[in-house]
Amino acid sequence: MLRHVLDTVYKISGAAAALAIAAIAGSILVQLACRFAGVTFDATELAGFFMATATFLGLAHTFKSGGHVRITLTFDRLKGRPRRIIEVFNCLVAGSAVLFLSCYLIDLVGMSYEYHDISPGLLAVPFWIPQLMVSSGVVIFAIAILDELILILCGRRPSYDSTLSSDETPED
Amino acid sequence: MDTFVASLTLAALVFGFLASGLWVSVTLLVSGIAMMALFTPAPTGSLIASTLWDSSWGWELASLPLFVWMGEILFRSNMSRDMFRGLAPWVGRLPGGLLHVNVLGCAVMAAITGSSAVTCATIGRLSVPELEKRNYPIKDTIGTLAGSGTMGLLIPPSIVMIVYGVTAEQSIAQLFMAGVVPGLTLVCLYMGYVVLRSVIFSNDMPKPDPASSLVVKLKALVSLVPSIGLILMVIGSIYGGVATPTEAAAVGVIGALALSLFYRTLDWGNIKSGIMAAMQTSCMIAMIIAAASCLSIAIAYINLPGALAEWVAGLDLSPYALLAVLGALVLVMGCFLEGISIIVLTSSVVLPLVESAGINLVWFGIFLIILIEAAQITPPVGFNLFVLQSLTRRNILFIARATLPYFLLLIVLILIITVFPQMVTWLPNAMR
Amino acid sequence: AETNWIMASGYPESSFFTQNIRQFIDSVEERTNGELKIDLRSNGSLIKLDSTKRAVQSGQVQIGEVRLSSYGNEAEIYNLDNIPGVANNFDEAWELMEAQKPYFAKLFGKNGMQVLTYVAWPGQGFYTQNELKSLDDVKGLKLRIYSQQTQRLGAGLGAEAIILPFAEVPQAFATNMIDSLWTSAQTGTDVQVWDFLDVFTYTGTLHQKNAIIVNQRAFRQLPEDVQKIVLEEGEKATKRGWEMAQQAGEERAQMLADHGMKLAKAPEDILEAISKVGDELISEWQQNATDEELAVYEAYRKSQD
Ligand code: NA
Ligand code: NA
Repeated sequence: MLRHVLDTVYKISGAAAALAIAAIAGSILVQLACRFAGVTFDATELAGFFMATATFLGLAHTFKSGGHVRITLTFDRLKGRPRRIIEVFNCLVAGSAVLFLSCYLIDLVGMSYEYHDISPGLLAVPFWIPQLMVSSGVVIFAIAILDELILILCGRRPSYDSTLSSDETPED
Repeated sequence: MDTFVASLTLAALVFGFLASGLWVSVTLLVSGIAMMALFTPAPTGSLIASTLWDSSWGWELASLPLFVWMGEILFRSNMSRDMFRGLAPWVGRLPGGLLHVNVLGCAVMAAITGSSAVTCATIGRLSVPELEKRNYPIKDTIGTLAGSGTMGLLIPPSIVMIVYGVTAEQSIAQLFMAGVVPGLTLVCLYMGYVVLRSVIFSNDMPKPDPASSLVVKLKALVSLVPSIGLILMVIGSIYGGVATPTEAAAVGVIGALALSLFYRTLDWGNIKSGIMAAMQTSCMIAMIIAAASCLSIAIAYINLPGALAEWVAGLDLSPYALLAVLGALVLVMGCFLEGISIIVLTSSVVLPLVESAGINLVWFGIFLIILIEAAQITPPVGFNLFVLQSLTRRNILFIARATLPYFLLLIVLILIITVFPQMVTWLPNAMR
Repeated sequence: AETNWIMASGYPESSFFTQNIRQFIDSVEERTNGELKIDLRSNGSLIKLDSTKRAVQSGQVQIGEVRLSSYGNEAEIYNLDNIPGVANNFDEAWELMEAQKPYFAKLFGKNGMQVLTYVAWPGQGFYTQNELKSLDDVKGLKLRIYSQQTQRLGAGLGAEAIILPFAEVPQAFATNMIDSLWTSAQTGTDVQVWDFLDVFTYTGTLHQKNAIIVNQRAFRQLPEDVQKIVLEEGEKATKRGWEMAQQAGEERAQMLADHGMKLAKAPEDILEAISKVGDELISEWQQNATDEELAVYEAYRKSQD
């Protein structure tokens, strides 16, 4: 049950990240079209906010499917227990760093809300809105890392490892 | 002393975590947090969080996912297959064959985008599968892509050049001009190396295609029409003054979607898998960029680059020795920092130093940008290496090794422009 | 006990804003016998320019320099700096600052900050390929703009307003996407505008202001004599800053001339058109402003009579 909920969360945030990329294209195209029509529409902020949204909401999904690069040299040679220990170490370090980050990002959202920080461009978007997207993405990322940690501790192979292996050719 | 301890700690953190297989972006983030907590009195958590935010919503960044998406759409249409089919009869008999497409393709892409990672990712997405299918050695595919991808910085449009121009109070138009001859030289160096390599190690290369008649060649041209059309559309939108380089990325996406429609590959499955793949690649790169800026802020706070530059200033060197030491310094910093940070953090010491040594600042800009290009392909933090790792799923050391000759060719280019500075200064002076 | 502050600012060391801050820091350190030391991180190397207010407010840094007009979306008072024709020269801008000061003190105070220093930007003007002989010459120009107000100005004068981030300006010139700018002599020299354009038509028109702001909690923790010195040096930095701004404006204009640009006075009909746009914008501003903000503007108007 929990498994299903978590996987759905990663999937939805990943899909939202993909939509944000489409939205970057959309807002820039609107800016272009408006210029031809002689209307001023500024996509600078909007595209930037969608960019941040895409990056951070995509973190967990990318993580789970092995999309974040790392150097697998040392432990490619390791098997069994030593390898598990290193994976646990990595997930612990990453998990605590990302958790630390998400606390302060949530803090940042609160601060922007409290201070009424508004973007300086033509659109005047309150900063807490895109920042909320960013911090949600980082929180989900933290959950995904801890999720992996527990899976590895239970003796499962990490899911981010399913495709990444040093010397085989990908099946694309 | 503090500088020394901080530098050692930095190296130990970055190399240690990377070696243990921690994700690159997380490594940079953790190192940034640790450096700031250990060596500065600043409120670490809140500064890291706000830096991450500030550096993740830039307008220039927005072209990254779009070009990557364009590449994914084109990869799923049959355009890349057609493109290589069209080019094969023309370059198939040239030693190195279709590897030259990587070099030239990156040069063209570099005229569209100002980012080396984007150049590498977009061309690589199209060429890696095709070249693999045709049995080109993966090492050469990787090397040409990583090396040529760096031209994104040297060939305008180039944000790095603009940052240098504003910082050094040098003409940006002249810098754009100054990059042209070195850029073309680099293309020649790379293509020359590919030719040489395939002549010497001809056994590694796929057998050259049989000579094709002119009719076949001309017929092949037809399959180039879609790709040339797309390139013209994107380049035309920039150089026709219709779109900025960032906007051109959106134009590229529209063009790619249209081509995909033309090839009848625009179905729901392809759309979904294309944008999800683009999302993952862009997420990976953008997160590394954002985490790298957290590390940069920490390093800037401790003033490592400034202290190193001051140290060089204290050596009181002759111009050539100064250039050699500065070059080495930038290469070392390039292992950890991204290019724009290097310029911003060292400029206040380095630029007066260079100027008083009687070195032309436009020339120095090109010198610096070529070094920063080289930094894109030096481990541990080399953006093109990460892009290629994610494209080819090879380990980073394999990629770094495959890229080494192209790194050395960049150093050769540095030597050439140092011996013949006119290569840089001639064109801007002639256009004045 | 010795106190160490960290300061964030957004402009390079060569900028007169940064030089003014350096002098402020030196004087404070000297007069307090090193009791208050300020470590300046210029050029956005620690905090980006637009984020500096938040950084000071939240205490990430104790002190910083902000560009007030960046916050026009937060409160209308910031926009007075931004409206063409409200303050057309340094003297008027000084009066405007005097009128704004009490309100800014209250506004920043409410948010846990205090303003020490105000420094004006040199005035603005048109950069074009050909001389502007009359308003007709502005019509159809592809003018780069960067804000709501400059957009209205461009549109009001009949130019084709194209919004672009600063980093894309040189490229946009190279590809003929734009053929004119409306900005200060400082920004003009930053992008080496003489590579693309030949004439600078100074209109004055608006003098935005930078401000040095300090976190109130940090400030109150200082011994009282040190607080007093900081305030005094802040005042001095204001006076010095305005002189430096005038000088920098002249130097930059001279730099344009040295690079072969023609410096021209704006023709009357262009100035009239600008003030017409300004009038429209100010009446809109009055509708959006709060009573207190209106009072600031009225006080400024009175000082002009
Ligand atoms: Na480029
Ligand atoms: Na590097």
